[in-house]
Amino acid sequence: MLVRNALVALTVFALAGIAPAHADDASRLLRLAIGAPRAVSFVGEVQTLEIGESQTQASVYRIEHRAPDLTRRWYLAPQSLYGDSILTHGENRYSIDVQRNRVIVDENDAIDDQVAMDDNFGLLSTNYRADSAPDETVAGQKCNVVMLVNKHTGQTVMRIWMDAKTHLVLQKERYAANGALTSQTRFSNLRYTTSIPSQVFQVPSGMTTIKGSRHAQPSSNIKAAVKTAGFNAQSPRYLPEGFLPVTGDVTDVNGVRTLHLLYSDGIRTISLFENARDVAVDLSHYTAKKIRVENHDAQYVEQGPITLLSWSEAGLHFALVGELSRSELVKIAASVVP
Amino acid sequence: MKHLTQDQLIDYLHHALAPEDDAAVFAHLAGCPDCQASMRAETALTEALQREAAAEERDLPAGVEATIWAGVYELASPPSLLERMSAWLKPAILVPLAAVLVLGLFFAPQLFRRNPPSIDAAYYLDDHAAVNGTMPFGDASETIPGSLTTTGDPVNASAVAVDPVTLTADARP
Repeated sequence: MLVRNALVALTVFALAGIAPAHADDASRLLRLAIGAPRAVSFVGEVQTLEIGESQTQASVYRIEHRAPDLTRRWYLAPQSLYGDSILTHGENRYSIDVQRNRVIVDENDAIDDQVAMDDNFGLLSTNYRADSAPDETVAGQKCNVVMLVNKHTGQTVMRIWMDAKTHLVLQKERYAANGALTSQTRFSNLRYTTSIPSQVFQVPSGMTTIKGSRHAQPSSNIKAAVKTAGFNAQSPRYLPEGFLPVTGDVTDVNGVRTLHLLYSDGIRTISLFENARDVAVDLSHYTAKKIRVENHDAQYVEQGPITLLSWSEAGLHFALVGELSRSELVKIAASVVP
Repeated sequence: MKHLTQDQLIDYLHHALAPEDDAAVFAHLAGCPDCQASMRAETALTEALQREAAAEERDLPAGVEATIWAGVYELASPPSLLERMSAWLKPAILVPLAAVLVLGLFFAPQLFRRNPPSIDAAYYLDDHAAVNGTMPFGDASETIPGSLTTTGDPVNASAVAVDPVTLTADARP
């Protein structure tokens, strides 16, 4: 009798309180994890894997981060990047190319957009359920593990390992719709420290400085972005469940006015670029393959799990970029009807 | 030998006899005073006719001479456009010329075509990664940046301010 009563009590307790409390706790952990890099400084080594349908990219880099926004990543692999590094000063990124003795300077105003970050976290919460999993150890640190489960499909899309003390994300995995691993980022060693020499974050002198791209802070007003583009821009009529238009921005790329619309479900993203000038996508540096989108020819390239699909229709050039499956991207592309 | 006939004498005077006949006439004249007399008479007549002919020489009529010179000038002057065009229509010229034109039309677009403008795919991939950085767990550091992998210069990209006048409160979908 005692056993039976205990079982009933446990069941009621679980139904009434434990599961929601667990989810809330996981959601709280996610919020803490997003803000962790602004609070903790560290050095370590990171391994990344980007697994596509036909090719995989791997990299290893040493990372030195001083809170809140100074970061340097030194590439140890692949061999072609050995010695190169990426230096990030807030919204400025310096790509230090040792082999070509040059520094490319990019500016990304979007990186510090806290409002957008909050909005996007809201989108994530709308589409994903945060489930806690048993703690694990990564790079010698005890980690809380949270799984992000798509509410529409029930599939786990991401699993995150957060340092139980600092909440820094030490491992992250993403999964395709069929459950296959598509990317993994993992600290192989880590040391928290505030004594990182300032020279580490200095742009090396004596190298040619080249101005790169300037990514504006995107507007959440899609209509305004489309109007600024100045041509009859199109958007997809089909998006996977949970996806919404998030931002739009307009850039003059080599003198060509280009509209960039971003769609997301809070984790996964799709970018649709379009221009109304006869300016196609140069895929010559990639292994491009042909594919059909509705009744016209298209081409695609893969970079790990990211696919870029490009096609032209009715005087508009399109490039669709995203980490969805190729068939899903083709379905979205086919729904863009000028 | 019979006496020479008048025809034989005329032909002899004009060196119109065959060599053996000419020799026979010459031999006969040497031994025949009658034929010698006939020969002298015929010679005198021939010379008289030649003198008369020379005395009757006249200039060509002025019209004939003008017509001849007009023809000469016409040959020396450049041909008209129509004449030149008709000359090109000769098969010997027309066929090779047509072949050259056809080949030219086929290859000229390829020789003179400018490469259509294009934007490196690395730009799109990088821009996607950059905006992805605003996602809660989107991290541009996951992907190797195109700025390190591309061999060419980066594209020239400058942001265009989205017209603030059109901003509305209901913008967010």
